[in-house]
Amino acid sequence: MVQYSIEELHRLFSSGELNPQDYYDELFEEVELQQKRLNAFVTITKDKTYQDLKNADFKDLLNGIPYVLKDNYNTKGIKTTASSRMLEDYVPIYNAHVVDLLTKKGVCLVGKASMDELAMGGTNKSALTGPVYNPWDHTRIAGGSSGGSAALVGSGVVPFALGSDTGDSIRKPAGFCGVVGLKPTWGRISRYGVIPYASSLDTVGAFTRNVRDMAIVTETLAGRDDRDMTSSDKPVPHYLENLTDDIKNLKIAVLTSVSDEMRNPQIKENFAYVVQTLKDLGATVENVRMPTEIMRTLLPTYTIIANSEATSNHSCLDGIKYGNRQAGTTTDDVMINSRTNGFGDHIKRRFILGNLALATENQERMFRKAQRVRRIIVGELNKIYENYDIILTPNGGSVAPRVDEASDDRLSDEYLILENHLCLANFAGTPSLSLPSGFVDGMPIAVNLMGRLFEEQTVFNCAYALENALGLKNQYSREG
Amino acid sequence: MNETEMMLKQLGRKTMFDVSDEEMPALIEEYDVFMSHVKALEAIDTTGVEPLAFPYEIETTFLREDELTYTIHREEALQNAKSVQDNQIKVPKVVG
Repeated sequence: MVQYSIEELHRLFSSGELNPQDYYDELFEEVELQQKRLNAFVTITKDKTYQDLKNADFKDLLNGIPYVLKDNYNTKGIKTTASSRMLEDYVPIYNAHVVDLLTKKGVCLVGKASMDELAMGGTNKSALTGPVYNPWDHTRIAGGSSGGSAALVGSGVVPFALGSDTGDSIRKPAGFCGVVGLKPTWGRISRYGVIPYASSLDTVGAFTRNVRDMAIVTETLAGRDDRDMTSSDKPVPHYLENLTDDIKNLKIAVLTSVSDEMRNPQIKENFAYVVQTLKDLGATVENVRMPTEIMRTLLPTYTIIANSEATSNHSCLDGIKYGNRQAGTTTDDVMINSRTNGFGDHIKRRFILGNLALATENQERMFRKAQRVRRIIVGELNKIYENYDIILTPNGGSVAPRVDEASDDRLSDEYLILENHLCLANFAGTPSLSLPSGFVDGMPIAVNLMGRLFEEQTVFNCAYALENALGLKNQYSREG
Repeated sequence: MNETEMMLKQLGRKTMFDVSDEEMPALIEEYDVFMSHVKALEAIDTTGVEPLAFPYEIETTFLREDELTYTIHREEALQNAKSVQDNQIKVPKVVG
């Protein structure tokens, strides 16, 4: 019963066919079951949900609809930990801008979802509350860093959830959990009140179980916010109203520099099927390449920029103003002891290496060099957009790994390019949507569609057409 | 402790962390990967290429009128601090 989409729920609530109280009572039974199975929540906000429900009139599409926030969204009066010991007891005094926007629409917050500590990771194994498990197979990871949000949409508990994406932190877990995930254009949605990772790459986005719902949520979140000076003044289109599955005039580029690195025969076969489907739908689909030596720099460029910006952004986490405070004889000692105790080992390593790249003697050779290479990468990508509306790639080269699986070979092209290419959209700021495309060994796989800056509508239309043709909308799993 | 370990330990301190002996092997491993990334970028000719600090040129106004807009109360500002006295955050004595 609780697996409805936003549009279905709206129709059922507003027509009186479904009793909201009964629905939410059953939803919380499922929340309890799935929390035991998936460990996806940091905080369950049951009292607030029912309080929100009291005010619902079900007139707007999102009114009375349940949802979940990644635990790096500030929520006034509700613990916001970013899955870090440093913020274990932190209770914000304000809401993130998008939380205010959704609240005005009358949504019902079900809880705060687990994530990799401070959003720095791709497995969700670094969360203070432990790993998040995949709804399709609980011996596998949900992916990260927005793993809790992905798992809760993928298990049908809520029709949508918010995440954040710095390198692929919405799109990778979306692919692993069989749901739709969007990283919008950088600047399309305000990031005010979202605990940052790397400001030149960070974006706010959503998980849904179909493209129409994604259009609804994105339209609600998008727009200028004076408290985020990087948010854009560009008018927000009516994504849902303008949605069409007629893609006959679309020009789609298959980025073979990425797809050629696929090794799994079933994933290759599925990708070929997606390409053929898009051709059958009338789109022009052609192969393009980016230079291999440039593709090999994606992960190095990302690692250096992201770690450097993160260490700077998180210098405010010192245990003095808020967060985990440890005793010390001097103020410096308080900060050092608080940070040493408050962060996980992998966070400390990333901060230290970020600081290495920012050090005066290294800055030009490391951080500035990475920013220069970023310009070259974005330049190559923009050359493709001169002739194509959409860039198509596989979302990755495997299904969700098992929780105890060893990490990938960090120097192979399969890892360097295929598994890390989604950060292209973060470098260039372009919208990028991951869409379920099939199953391998009972686990969901996905493809990714990248559009031009602020052309979310084109991405939605292409995804909508593909979703209709593939018939994989509204999928979820509660067992396994 | 070799030179690299010493450098990383000092860098840790500058980043306001203590790096324990137990944490050092994993840090060294990640440092080696990080330096291989640095090397990979050195192979790319960036002569005459300006750093790209943001994805695209941002059309925004950094300045605004000096008007009171979003404010918070003192109680709220101090709410999450673990040590507060006389409406101020208390820290160990800084000046002797």
